Order: sequence, then C-alpha cells, then structure tokens
Amino acid sequence: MSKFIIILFMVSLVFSCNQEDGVRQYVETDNEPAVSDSGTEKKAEQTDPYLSWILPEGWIERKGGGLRLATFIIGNEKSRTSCTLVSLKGDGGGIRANIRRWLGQLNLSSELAEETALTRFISAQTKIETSSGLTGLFIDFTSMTGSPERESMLVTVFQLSDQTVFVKMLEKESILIRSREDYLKLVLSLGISKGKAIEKN
Amino acid sequence: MKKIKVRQVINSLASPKLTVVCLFLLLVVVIWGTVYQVDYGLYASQQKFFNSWVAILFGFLPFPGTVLLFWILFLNVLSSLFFRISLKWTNTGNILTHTGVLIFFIGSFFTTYFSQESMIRLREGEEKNYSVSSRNWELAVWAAGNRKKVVYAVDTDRLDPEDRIRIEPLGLVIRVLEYHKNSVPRLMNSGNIGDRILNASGIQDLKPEPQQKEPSNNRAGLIFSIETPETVPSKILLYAGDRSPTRVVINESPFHFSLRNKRFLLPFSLGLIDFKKTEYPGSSMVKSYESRVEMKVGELSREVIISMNNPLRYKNFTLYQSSYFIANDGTEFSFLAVVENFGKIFPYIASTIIFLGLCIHFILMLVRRKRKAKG
Repeated sequence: MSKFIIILFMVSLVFSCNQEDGVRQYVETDNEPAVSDSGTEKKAEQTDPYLSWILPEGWIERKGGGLRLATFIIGNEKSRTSCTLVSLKGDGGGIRANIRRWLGQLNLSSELAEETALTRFISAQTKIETSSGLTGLFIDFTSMTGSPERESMLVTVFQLSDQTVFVKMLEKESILIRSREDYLKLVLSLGISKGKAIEKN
Repeated sequence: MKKIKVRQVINSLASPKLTVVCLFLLLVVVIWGTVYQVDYGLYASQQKFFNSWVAILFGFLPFPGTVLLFWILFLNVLSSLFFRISLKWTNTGNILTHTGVLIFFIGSFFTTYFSQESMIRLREGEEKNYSVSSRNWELAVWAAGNRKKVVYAVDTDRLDPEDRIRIEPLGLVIRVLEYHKNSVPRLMNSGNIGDRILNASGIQDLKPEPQQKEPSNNRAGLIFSIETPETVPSKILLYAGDRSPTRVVINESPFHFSLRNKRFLLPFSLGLIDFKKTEYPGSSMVKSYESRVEMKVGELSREVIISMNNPLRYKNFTLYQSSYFIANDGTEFSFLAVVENFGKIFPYIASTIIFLGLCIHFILMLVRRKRKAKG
C-alpha cells in the first residue's frame, strides 16, 4: 500500500507544477543598427518584410509608422505630394465601408448614398493584376470630383489571404491625373517578396 | 474486498499486455498524426494527436491521444518496477532498464509542460536579449524616455473584461474593457462618437474575429482604461498589428503601451554579424544558409556560426537556423528558432541507464544459461 502512495505522490508532483502568473519585469536590449537619412537606406526600415515593390523614378521612399508600411514622396524631399501604403489585418473594414469613408473625406458623402449606386460604382472600377500575380481593385475618384483644384483620391485595394493592403494617394485632382501613371507603376510592381519565410525541413 | 480491488488495479497497470497495447496505439497515433500534418499543418497535428488526451477522429470517434498513452505507459512502467519486479540482485538489469525508461518519461513531461518555443528575428548588425513567441501575446508597459528600457509585461492569454492589472512600480492600475484573441482593426468608431480612443495607428475600434486554426495568424486586440489617482478618461486601444507602441501621458509622465508577441528574456544577447546563403549552381534553390552571430554572456563574448543542422546550444537553450528573409534593398534578416528545454539532460541520463541495465541483464542471462548448461 505504501508503494501505491509513493506512486500517487510522484504523479501528483508532476501535475501540481504550474507556471507563474502576474506582472513580469525585464530589461530589454534591442540595439538596432543605425540607418542613415538617405532615401535608399531608408528602404531598410521597411516594416513588413513580406511585401515588395519597385519605386517609380523620382519617388522617394520614407519609413512607415503605425499600420503604414511606407510613405512615398513624389518629387523632391520638400514635396508635400505623397502616396501611402497601408496594411490592415483581415478585410480592413470592408470595401463598401471604406469607400463610404473616403467619400466622406472628399466631401462627396451624398454621392452613392444608395446601395445600388455604390454597387454600380464598385463594379465599374478597374480590376488589376500585378506583375507578381496579386489581384486588386483600382478605385479612381478623380472622375467624381469634377474640378482640378479639388481634393480627390486614387486607391488600390489588395485583399490578401490574411491582410488587406491599401495604396492610397490623396491630392488635388490635377496632381493625381499627372501622377497616375507612376502611381500605377508602383501598384503593378507590388508583390510578395521571394525571400518570404523559407522554412527549414 | 477493497484490498483485492487495489491489487487487481495494480496488476492490470503493471501488465506487459498493457505495454504492448499502448505501444501499438502509440504507433497508430504517430502514423496518423504524421499523415494528418501533411494536410492540416504541424501545429494542428500536434494539438490533435500529440498534445491531447483524446483525439476525436472522423468527428465522432474518440481515440487515445499521446498524452493519455504516455501517462498510462508511465504508470505501467512505474507499477512494474514497484510491484512486478522483485528486489533481487539477479533483477538488477531489469530494475535499471525500467528506471531508465521512467527517466525518459520524466524528461518528456518536463519537455511537454515546461519547454518554450520562440523565435529571434535579427537584422545584420542588430542585437537582442530576448526571443519572441509567435502564438502568445503580452501587454507591455514601460516609461518613455529612460535609457534603460525596463518593461513590465502581463500575459494576455487569460484576460477578461473588468480584470484589473496592477503595475505597482509604475503606480498604474489597468482596467480591461475588451480583449479579443483575434480581431480586425477599424479606423471608424462604431460605438459612441464621444469616446476618445488612443492608438498609435489611428485605430478606433476592434471587430472580434473567430480564432484562426494557426494561432500565429491571430491578431489580438485590447481596449482598456487607466485608473490612477487622477483618472485618465481616455480609452486606450492596442492592436497586435500596431507597428509602434501607443504613448500615453499619465500624471505628466509619458508611458509606452504595446500589445505584442510575448517576449522571453534570454540569459545572453545575440547579435547578427553576417548572414550567408548558398544556392545550388545555376539555380535560385537554396542549398544552405548560416548566421554568424556574436553571443554575449555578461562580459564575455564569442562568435558562433549557426547553420542548418548545426544549432547553438547554451544551458537549456538550443538555437536553430530556422529561416531567413532578404529585403528589397538586400538587407538580410535571419530567423532563429529558440527552444528552451528543461528536460534536455534526461534522455542522456536515461539512455545511459538503459544501456547499462540491458548490458547487465544480458550478462546475467548468459551466466545463468552457462550455469544451467553445466549443471
């Protein structure tokens, strides 16, 4: 009988072990290498390692922040014209909700108020495929603003397996029309980097 | 009557028939689990077959999982050792072999319950003293602006609404309002427009999502408020996809809050000096890759090469070259899998004891046969 109790004791010892709860404290060392301010080296700061793109001529890449993967400055360093690349988990809020939000930003909320009008607008937009096979929806608001001096927007939405990528350019309509070709070059160059997570077998 | 029942249980537990049945079932589970992982992935297979007590097959058929089989085998060997094998010198080999097998089991229990798997991602020139879990999240808080980054972290696995987390050294009390193990961020607030939400990425709301089959694909989300003597009215939202921490000023002191992959502090720091990839001639297929790292332990440092099938071992830690990434501009990142295994030493001890036990057993058998032949 005593042997039986010893066995029970040994088994209960293993089961009674538990990991501790509560607040942990540690000192973190995270020495990242210095990155200079030059445009090319800033690419090293690209935050999402799985997306790649080719920069159109004359565009400058800036480090992203938050959910922004990168900001592209068009023209020189002092230029205020920019394009952003944003990645959100999942469907990113859904295409319809986002279009309504963008229309609000452009003071065009009254346009496409009806669901059928919105559906028609979405179906009229251009489906594009990048050189690496990513498919997206290119949404061009310039046809709606109606004035070269009014703010408008070019957006391309890529629905990937686990995230939604937005390439967004919010500028005066005239600037957008001028930059559209370069914008599309950037969009069409988007791809999943070939270096993605090669797992060791 | 009671005594007979206990004896019956012990006899059944110590039975060699039970060993054979369990080993056969283990064989089935291992084969099934291996085939299953081809379609459903390693993690799903581990969870269903190897980390479970009972595996449900075809959606309705219960089948013993590896955990259950290991426990039965453990009790089986333990009972055999204590109740079936008598304490005679002629049984020395048997006793040693059984003890060795028990040590194997104890080692596997340690590995199952206490080993930690995590990952270090290093860019060339970067140095870190922590590894990161791909499945678990932590709420990390640190005072902004200090040169020494002292982090206070809480595991979020068991957070529930209305939980209060006290971080005494910083004088903070955090009240959890929402916690989602998987969520999608929204830039619009679907709730009260008057609510002010602080978030570094501009996220205003979280939509709960069902958890993914592969836990590393989940993105946790947390909304909380701070209770201090001067209560900060804002709600703070942290999303696991935030690329920078959210800065909050409380009583004129700035703090950083982040919901991020759980960090495990290492007893050493590791810096990536160089990453090298070799391809097969004339193709882009990778032949091998290796990381030259500088390992610092206290004041001492040394260079080590970690390559495929050539891990770095230090105390209970083993670091494997897992994968790599090369960014657009050629910057190289190396991914090292870190396994902290407290039961690492057990298989060595167990194997040695089993080897000795079997040697003694066979020698004794030989002696016994020779004696019989002579007699």
